[in-house]
Amino acid sequence: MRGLLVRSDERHPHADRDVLTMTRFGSALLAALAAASMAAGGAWAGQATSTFTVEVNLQNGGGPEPPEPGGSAFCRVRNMPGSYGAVVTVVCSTGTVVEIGPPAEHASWLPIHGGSYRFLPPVSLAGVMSPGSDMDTGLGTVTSWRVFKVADRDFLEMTVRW
Amino acid sequence: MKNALRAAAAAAALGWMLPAANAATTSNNFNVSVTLTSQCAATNSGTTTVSFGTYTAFQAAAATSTSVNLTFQCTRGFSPVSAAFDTVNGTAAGVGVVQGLQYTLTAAAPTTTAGTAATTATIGTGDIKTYAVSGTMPAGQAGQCAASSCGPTSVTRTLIVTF
Repeated sequence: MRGLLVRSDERHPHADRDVLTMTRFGSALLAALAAASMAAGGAWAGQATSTFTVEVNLQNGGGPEPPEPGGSAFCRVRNMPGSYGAVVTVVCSTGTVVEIGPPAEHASWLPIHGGSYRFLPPVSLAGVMSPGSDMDTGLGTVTSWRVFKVADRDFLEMTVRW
Repeated sequence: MKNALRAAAAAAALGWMLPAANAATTSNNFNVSVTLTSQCAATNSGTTTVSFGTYTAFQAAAATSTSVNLTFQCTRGFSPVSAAFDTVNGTAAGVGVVQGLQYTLTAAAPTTTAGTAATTATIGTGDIKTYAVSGTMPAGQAGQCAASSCGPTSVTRTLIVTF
């Protein structure tokens, strides 16, 4: 741009005094354009991209890390109100919130890793489990159990984890 | 008479054979001009996987990844002004999630391997800018996995170099 301005002045026979002025103006204009370009984020800039992958193998348990105190290698209990019928949220490394309750439509529950299930079979006064309610079966480890009476009926409550 | 003709023929032939003896040279100068637009282009080779290995859910220690070298060939003497990560599978600062695990990538300042200049015999090579990319994964994360283990799982990220 500076060269163009000088040539323009040279073609003008009476512009000798203005050459310096125009040159300064050209320099100032060039600097202003450069500053504006930088301020605009460099519209003249180009980009080059390089693609790569980020990889991980997630292990839910059995690894070298010991279980954390007061918790489990798999799941953590977020709240434990301690009252019967309260909702307890269990957050597992599976990423799913495990609901402690009977399976839908009383089908046999699936031993999905990290799951938990509460048995609540009613027991008759003769000590016989009544059929027809919460009699579903499945594999797991009994982690707690208790017998309680509600409405003159005894219930055997078991919590099974796997 | 015959000898005179031969002499004339020889003289004529000699004249044809030596026409340059009286030649002159002249020159005409011109300019070779070009405007070079500086560029950078990715030239990766080899592995391009930032691997965190195996992460055990809720593990106590943060995980660190392997490092990969991402290379760009640039115009000699030219340097990119900045580098950032894509915002498709994470943030420009390098944060992302894979298998339900959060990670943060970092790209170190690039190193430069100077290229070779062009000559009349070779076209030369560009400068090589190498960015070392690695990452960390915070401790105590649950992750997302319905089985006892999942993976290796990978996501694609991109390093964007602006010049």
